[in-house]
Amino acid sequence: MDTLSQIVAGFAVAAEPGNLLALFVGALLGTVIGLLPGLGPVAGISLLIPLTFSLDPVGSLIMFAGIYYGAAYGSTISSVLINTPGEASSVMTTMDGYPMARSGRAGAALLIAAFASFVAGTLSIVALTLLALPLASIALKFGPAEYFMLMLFAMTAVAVLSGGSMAKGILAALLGLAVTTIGTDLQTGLARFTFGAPQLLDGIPFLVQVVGIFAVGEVLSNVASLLAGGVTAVRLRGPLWCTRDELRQAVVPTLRGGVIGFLVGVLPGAGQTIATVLAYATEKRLSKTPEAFGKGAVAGLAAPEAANNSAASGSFVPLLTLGVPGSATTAVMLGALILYGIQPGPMLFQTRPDLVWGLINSMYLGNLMLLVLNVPLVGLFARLVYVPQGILMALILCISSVSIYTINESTFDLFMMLVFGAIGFGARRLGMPVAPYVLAVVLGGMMEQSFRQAMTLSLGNPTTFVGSPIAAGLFVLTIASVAWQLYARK
Amino acid sequence: MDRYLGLGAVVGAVIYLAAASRLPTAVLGDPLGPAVFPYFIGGLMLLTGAVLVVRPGSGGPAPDQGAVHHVADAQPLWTVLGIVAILVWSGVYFLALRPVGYPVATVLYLLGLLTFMHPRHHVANVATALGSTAASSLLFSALGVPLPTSF
Repeated sequence: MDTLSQIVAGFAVAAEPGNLLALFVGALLGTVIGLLPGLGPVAGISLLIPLTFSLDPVGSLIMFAGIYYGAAYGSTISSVLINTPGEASSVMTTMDGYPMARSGRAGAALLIAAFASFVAGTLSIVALTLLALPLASIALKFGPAEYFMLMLFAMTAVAVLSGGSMAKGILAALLGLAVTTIGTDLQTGLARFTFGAPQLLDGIPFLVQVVGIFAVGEVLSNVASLLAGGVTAVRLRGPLWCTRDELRQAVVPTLRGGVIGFLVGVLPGAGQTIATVLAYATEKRLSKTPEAFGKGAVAGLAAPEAANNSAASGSFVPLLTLGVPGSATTAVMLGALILYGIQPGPMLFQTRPDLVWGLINSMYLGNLMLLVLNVPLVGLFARLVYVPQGILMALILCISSVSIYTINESTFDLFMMLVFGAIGFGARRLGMPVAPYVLAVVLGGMMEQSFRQAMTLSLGNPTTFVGSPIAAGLFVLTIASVAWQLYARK
Repeated sequence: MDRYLGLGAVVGAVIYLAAASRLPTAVLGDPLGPAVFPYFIGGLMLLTGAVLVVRPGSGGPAPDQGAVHHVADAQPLWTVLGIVAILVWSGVYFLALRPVGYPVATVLYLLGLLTFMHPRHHVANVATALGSTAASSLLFSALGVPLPTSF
């Protein structure tokens, strides 16, 4: 009853006009920022922190929540319409969202994404409300060995399920891991594979690679088509909004993706990205038409979108209950909370219930605000496909370049983006899947650190990777996913 | 194609392993050292490349990477030249950004791209180049993101 009264009080706080305005402004700005590849929610929140100094801590956190959800959906829009994910957790959305848009169903794709995000997000916030404290204790059981096995499982799952040759999928993942070894080794401080270039000491920025491979690679593919006379204009096909059948197809993947997303998102680290990959892989495995994935399958879009939004809620669990950020975005929020003199942790629920429940309840409203803001605009967004291809591709190249420049104001990064653009174009021509590469780039650094930490803690004993029930279970799942694929292809 | 890819992977793995062999194998406080993970990756890459050389084309059809339009191979030379032209023009833009400044460099860059990708629509191209440069300048300025100016 006490929790219920706090929830009701939290709604009262979130629904105050000033806080609702902060939510709206945050969601609007977040969507604009999320649309721009290269900025994304982390940069967006960081840029907008000064704006919130005029608000009280509750109001500023509510605005952050609006920016967070807005940026996530903005990233979805750019993933679907121009095949350019604004952040790692939107990569899986491109797999089926972009093909759907290219086949004339851009409006339906955006709506399905909005529906999946809203439903899974709302349900996951309910779960956050009820399960935050118990789940935090489970998250604490994940040590380096468990993290390594989880990441290995996620990468194996996507490499073997990416379609086409399993060898190419694994090779793509290995290439991604190799790229993550470029830079300064965190444990020893030694430079690896930098070949004397100081610009490589910090490694190659993730966004440089993603924008290069997806955006620039896509532009180059379009140019090749243009020169070969193979470009056909995309026309919106069928109803602008999704059909009842498409919505029906999205329901179960949304619910499944939401559950996976929330549980995995609770784990500090790359929970959101892993969640989207596992959700996608699960749907493909369970689907009666797995060959439709990668070509505009509704389930292939709904599941990772649901998992993404749901994992976002999950990432608040370690932040609020343990004071440990679950993602880069929540890390920035943690910094903001400390700026306001608030220390998250187990006592936060007791010492500042107004803040905690105000934030959680603003997340409900934030989800709703996204629908209110973006659903009416779906028609406008979808009509972007009518922009002549030549103009669209030129603008994508330009926006990508500027966005990458804003990361470090580095011309070197821009040239690296072109290199990865050429790699992305080459990958398309060679039939190499890109998802395993991108996932490996996101997880590679953490994977290596977990591996070395686990081996150090176990004094070099490799059985540590199957030593706990969680690690052993993940090991079995990894082997099973490879064996099942080998069996299924015979 | 797969055989060439596999061969490329084998060669790349050998180079990678050779570079990894120059790293110290163990450092005080870190029993594994910075080279273990690269050896692991390089070894697997060698194996995977060999599989592709020996068994090319095994597995399902090449996945559709989201590009619904298919690239025809009718004019490969023009394709390569076109792609190289785009990359070179982009490189020139990157080098010109700081000395020339964002507004001028971007307008010229876009005009060049649009003339190539959207030919014979000069009015639309000029309007797009000017309009999008102005809009992006305002947006990034409002967000407090610094962009190079020529002065």
